[in-house]
Amino acid sequence: MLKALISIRLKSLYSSFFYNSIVKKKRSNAFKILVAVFALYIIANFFFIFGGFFYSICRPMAESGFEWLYFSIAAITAVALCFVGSVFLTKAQLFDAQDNDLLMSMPIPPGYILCSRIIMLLALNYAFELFVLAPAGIVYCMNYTVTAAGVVLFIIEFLLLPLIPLALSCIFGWLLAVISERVKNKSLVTTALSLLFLALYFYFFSQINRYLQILIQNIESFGAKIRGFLFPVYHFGLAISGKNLSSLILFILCAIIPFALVYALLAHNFIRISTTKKGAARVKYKEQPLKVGTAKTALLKKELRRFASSPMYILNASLGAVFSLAFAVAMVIYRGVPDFILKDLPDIAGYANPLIITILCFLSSTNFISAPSISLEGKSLWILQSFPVDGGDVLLAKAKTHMVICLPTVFLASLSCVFTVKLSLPQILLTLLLPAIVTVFCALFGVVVNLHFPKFDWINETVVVKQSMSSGIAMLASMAVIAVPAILYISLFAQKISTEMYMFIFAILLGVLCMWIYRYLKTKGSAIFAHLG
Amino acid sequence: MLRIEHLTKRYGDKTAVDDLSLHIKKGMIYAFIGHNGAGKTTTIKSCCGILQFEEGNIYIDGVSIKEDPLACKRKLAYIPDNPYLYEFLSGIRYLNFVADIFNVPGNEREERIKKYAGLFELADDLAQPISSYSRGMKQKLVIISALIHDPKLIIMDEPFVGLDPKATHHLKTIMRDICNNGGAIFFSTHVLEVAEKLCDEVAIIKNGKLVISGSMEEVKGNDSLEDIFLELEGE
Repeated sequence: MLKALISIRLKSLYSSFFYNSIVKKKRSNAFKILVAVFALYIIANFFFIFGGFFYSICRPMAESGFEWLYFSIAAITAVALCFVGSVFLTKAQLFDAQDNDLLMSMPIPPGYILCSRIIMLLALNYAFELFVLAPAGIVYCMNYTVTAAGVVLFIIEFLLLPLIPLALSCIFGWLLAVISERVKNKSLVTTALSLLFLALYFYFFSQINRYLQILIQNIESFGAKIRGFLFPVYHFGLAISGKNLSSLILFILCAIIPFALVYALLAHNFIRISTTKKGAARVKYKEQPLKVGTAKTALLKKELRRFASSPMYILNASLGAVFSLAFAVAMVIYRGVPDFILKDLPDIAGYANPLIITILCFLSSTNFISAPSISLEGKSLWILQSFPVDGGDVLLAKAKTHMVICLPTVFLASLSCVFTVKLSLPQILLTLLLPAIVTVFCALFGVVVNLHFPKFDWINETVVVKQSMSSGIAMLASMAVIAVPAILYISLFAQKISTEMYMFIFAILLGVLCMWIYRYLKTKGSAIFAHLG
Repeated sequence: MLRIEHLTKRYGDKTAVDDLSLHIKKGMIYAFIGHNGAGKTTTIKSCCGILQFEEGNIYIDGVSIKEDPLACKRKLAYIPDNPYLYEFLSGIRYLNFVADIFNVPGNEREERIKKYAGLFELADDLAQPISSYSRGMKQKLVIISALIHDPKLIIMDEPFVGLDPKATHHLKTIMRDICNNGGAIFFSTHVLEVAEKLCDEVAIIKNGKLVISGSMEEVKGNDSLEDIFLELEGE
């Protein structure tokens, strides 16, 4: 039974990538290869980032006699990545799954349902852990010889370490679920909490180089602190570096006992958690005049409400808008490009202004609000299809939602640059225009991608927003649209035409492309929409 | 009001609806009966412009749904078998959204919402999010939203499922009133007693093909509709 439950989850995950819901057929092998290449690219990125980090700390630590600290830091990093990567999914999988009612009505022991979900989450944690511990292990092997015993210990610890972040994310996921269930403005509170969490996370990563320096300069005192406060990771490091069996046993206990306690607690309360919905207090409707609007405005308002109702959608699909705001604030605080950046990187000083415009464009391209918007119609797709509205208007309402949310933040960020950076007139025009055109492109392009890669049979909307082919393609392609021409310009035309001229040409071409996509959505897109579902 | 001419719809190799022709005149309540998987929902969705079909044509008040789907959709209302709605909206916001889409003037929409929400005892719950509604409440909301633009034709797929007896009674009265005012109703149902008492005409479909159609008296004669249906199904 447990096998069947895990199998159905794996099939659902597989079909979200490799099943075309329009023609109800498996996707082609060429498509699967494309997905594999994309996955390899992501893995390579992680390996590169963490490999570089571990390479810079491996020798200094081992040579200072703090080899255990190297592995402890690897463990801390892995735990942090696993936790950040899985906490929201843990909440969605354990506490908000839409198939709870269906599964609970079947003669399946609740423990099996919980166990199948925990196993899937554990698998996800292993993937995140691999991104950190594999480069850490490889870097160590490159610098020092390793013994068979060391490898065995490393594998044992690798298998047990994710139990720690999994226990933590179960607790935090539960807390998030309890808070969001009881508060009135559920999505607002969850979004605020998640943004705070993200702000702390990104602050930490922005300071990583400083921390790294402090760490290497104060290895001894840092080691003492880890020994004192982070008992499990201390023994994680000590077990591998010193082949210390007692440390291994202590680490195993530290990983298994908290997880077992959390699991027992969840298993004991699973039926109550899954079936109790406290909800908000009942509000009695008082008759009042209704606002009358056009069909197009109604569609736009509906899309905006859809967006605002889901913190998960807000946090994943509009992070670029949040970063644009943060960028605007940073520009005002630092009054333009901070001097220390220009001093440290004198080579980029001449390109600082075009670089700022490029950064603004990249920030815009990380928003993908429109990319899952058709899939999010799910089983209520019949509503729009049965209404007397043109499919093109429905699709454009989705693109407009993206623009309404992202354009003001992009404009604020652009404006902050105009007032804090010394820009020439063409640069001012580009700063105001180009990021806005990129935003319009992302909005329209996201809809096109989703039109061709829709998924309506989702159980949890997280699958559509975070893990769907449409979101992935839209975001990467939007970034590529900026990066590829920029690389081509730098390598082929930089000597022939000025950066500003290149940017103007790029803006015009992108604008033409936007107009073409707009026309496509109004004509062919409308016909495709009528056939969806 | 609704004319289906030689409708054929295929899913891959399977023919879901095979050369179906029906004519639902103004003032008529028309029942559409068949076993599970007979092709009722496919036919209904094709009539509403939700499903594209390969052969034949469907006319709403003389207009082809293939040629001018928007004009057809303006004249009809569709009530699906499963009321999947926008869970993130409140009941009143959903109704106002539908009214905006159909361009219903402010006073008319307020009047109709008041009338039908009162009738179906949903008025107090309109401020609640749809996600908090029961199956029956969602069904009532879909019915109210279908009536909000005063359609000439209502196409319904199992409309009585989930409704309490009082709401069922009100819906039947509304259906008759619409037809008395020159509208038409085309609906599928498994509740043969309701079809027998309520409908003017009936069509029975089996494996995508029309088995029999005509006025209720012609089809059932002196037997009950249930007897006729079971007899035809057994053939």
